[in-house]
Amino acid sequence: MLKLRDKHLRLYTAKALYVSTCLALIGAGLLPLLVPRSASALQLTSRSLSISTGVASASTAQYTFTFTVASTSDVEGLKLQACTTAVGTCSAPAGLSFSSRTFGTQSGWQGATNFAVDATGANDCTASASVICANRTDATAQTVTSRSIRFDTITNPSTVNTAFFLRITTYSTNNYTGGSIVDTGTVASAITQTLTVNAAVAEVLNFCVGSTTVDDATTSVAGDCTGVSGTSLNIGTLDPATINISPVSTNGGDSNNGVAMLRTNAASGATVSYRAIQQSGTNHLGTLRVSGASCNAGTVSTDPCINAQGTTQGTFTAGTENYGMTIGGVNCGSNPDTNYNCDFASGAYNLVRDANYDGNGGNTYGTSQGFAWDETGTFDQVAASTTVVDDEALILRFASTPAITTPFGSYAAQADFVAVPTY
Amino acid sequence: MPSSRFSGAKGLSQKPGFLVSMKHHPGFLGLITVCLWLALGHQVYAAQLTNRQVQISTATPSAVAAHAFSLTYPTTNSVGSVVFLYCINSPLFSDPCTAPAGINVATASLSSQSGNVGFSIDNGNTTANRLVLTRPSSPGLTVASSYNFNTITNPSAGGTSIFVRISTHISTDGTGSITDNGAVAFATIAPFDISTFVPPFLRLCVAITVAPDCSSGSGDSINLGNLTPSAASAGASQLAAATNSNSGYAVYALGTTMTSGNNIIPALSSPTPSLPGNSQFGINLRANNLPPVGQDPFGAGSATPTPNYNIANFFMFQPGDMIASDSQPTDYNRMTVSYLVNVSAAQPPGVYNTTFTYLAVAQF
Repeated sequence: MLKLRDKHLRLYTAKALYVSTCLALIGAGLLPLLVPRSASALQLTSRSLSISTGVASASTAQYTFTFTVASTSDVEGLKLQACTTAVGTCSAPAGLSFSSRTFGTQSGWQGATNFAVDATGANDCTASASVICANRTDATAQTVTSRSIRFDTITNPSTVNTAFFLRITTYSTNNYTGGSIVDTGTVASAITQTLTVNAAVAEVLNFCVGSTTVDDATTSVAGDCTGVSGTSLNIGTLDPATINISPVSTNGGDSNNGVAMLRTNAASGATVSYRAIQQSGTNHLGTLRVSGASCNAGTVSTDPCINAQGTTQGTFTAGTENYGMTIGGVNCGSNPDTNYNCDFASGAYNLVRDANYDGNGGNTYGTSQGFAWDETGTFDQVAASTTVVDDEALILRFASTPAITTPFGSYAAQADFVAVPTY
Repeated sequence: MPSSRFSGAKGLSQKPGFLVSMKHHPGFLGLITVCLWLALGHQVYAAQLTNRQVQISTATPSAVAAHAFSLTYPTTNSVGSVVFLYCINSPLFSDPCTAPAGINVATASLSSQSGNVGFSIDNGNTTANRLVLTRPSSPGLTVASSYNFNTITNPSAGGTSIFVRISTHISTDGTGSITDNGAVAFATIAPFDISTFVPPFLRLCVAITVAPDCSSGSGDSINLGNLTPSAASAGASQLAAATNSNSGYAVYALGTTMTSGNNIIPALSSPTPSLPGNSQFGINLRANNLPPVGQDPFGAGSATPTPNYNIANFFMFQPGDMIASDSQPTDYNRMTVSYLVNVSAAQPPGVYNTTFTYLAVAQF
């Protein structure tokens, strides 16, 4: 029994094998008849789809298809079908529309004739909102190389963060007959959520005035305005034989210069001006004077008001009473050089001195050009920029010389500095 | 935001029955339209006021100042009010506003305006840090405009940046949605003091020759040669002096007449001409021609020789005499001191000499 069973089993097994083989052979023989269109199609390789925008429902998207044909047959028809899946039954992506598509450009194709959009299609390709048919009449054989073709004015799918697929079929005929399929392939793309980033850049103005021992255009005055301090400087005891120019380290001088540092993001720039604060007394209230004293109008050297240079810069003569201010240089020591290069010596800075307060008339630190001082109490501009300024510091240098007749006493001047940025 | 506007409209259009029913209620349709318009109005983004700045008349903390605003309206939207909101923490309209300590715009007056005009201060809606301009609402002009305010009290803290948020509104009281906006900034800074000291000056220099301003001098002795009864002998030295003393200065000549041991040449006790053959010693501070010696005072100062020494060709010398002076601050004067010596035939021989010391005195 065991042998019989085994014999029957072997017989059944052999029969099943024969039947399966026959079915396979029949199936293989019929397959070309059943699926004649894809029997000879090969896979397009190195294929991709580049879309100009991933914004949902964008109506002017450009779709660029790039692929390498697998066959050297001529290609005269193209079918591009948009689906929600790569294989199987094709459902058009919601919102996608080829209805307004136009031919954009092509490259890499053999044959001089460009493809053109076929608004209706034929046979295997019926143009619709989700199918592009394009054809040409050009029997030039293709090479197995990369090529591209672009279609414009396409409306993207409307559902964000979803993928969609374009099934590509090439035909050797320009009427898309089923038997003329050359290659096929599928590419994918996606519509993404538009990410909106909101930010606000606030108006910035950091302006400060103080005193500093820095006496050049390179040494850092401070990290920024928070490090600038002091509200005064002393240019020491005057002598008609000399001109005291800050910083003065002898005879009572405190070794300080003045400094005005500016930072602003005002795109239209900013101005820096000063106003001589009017002190008590009579005449010449805004110059270096003995507070409360009576002075004479005009240029007098025997009253307790040291004559001011005025708004026009001039050099001083020792013993000829005078008082003024200039800007020794634009100090870039606090500029981080991260936003723009700041270097006074090479002229690379944004805060430009007014000619009457330009110490050296160039990009050399100093006071050789002289000084100016407006004692009237109206604002006089000393520097300006036409763009943003990042911690550039004006080194303010004050100078005075008395006449031999200048009355003795303590003299002082006060200045009110303002920066006016224009946003 | 605009898309939501349109989706809202679409939502209405998708209800034809609703629309049909509204056709029979035009008033209700109008109400809906107004509501929709108001809703859409809130969704319009504010445009930026451009070329905006504020110029303050003084940066001094707590000072009563003028604040002059300049700006350009970017749109022709209707404007019924402009708000100037002073904040110390941020220029951003999305941030809460912290009023700067000490600021007071409630006392402001509108001194002038240009461009978009017709505004006055809305005192009812103006506070210490919020200044409201009002006018009947009318379309804006896209032109540069300025609003200049006086009597604003600056914030009390120095060294700080103050932001002024400027916004325009359709409403006339600064309320409601913002039409256009922008911020400006200014900084309060304590006055900067420059000080110096002018000391009392009394400058005196003496030498055979000195510069008019005492910047140089040379020589400290005069040799009159051999004295003879037949001719006068003379020499000269110079001094210069200046002071900033309110009461001026005085120069004194200290010394003696010329002597040789116990022998002396008598000094002239009063201004006297030169008389060769007579023993005489004297000085003056003028240009002389008998004998030809000396120069008149020189310089920008106002000092003069004292009268007894201020007569040309007349000499005298009284030890300790004040020979020059001024009663007020004076620039430099250079004085030339002429020394006259005559001897008689009976003058004992010998080497005669003297030493003069000049003393300047000023009172401060």
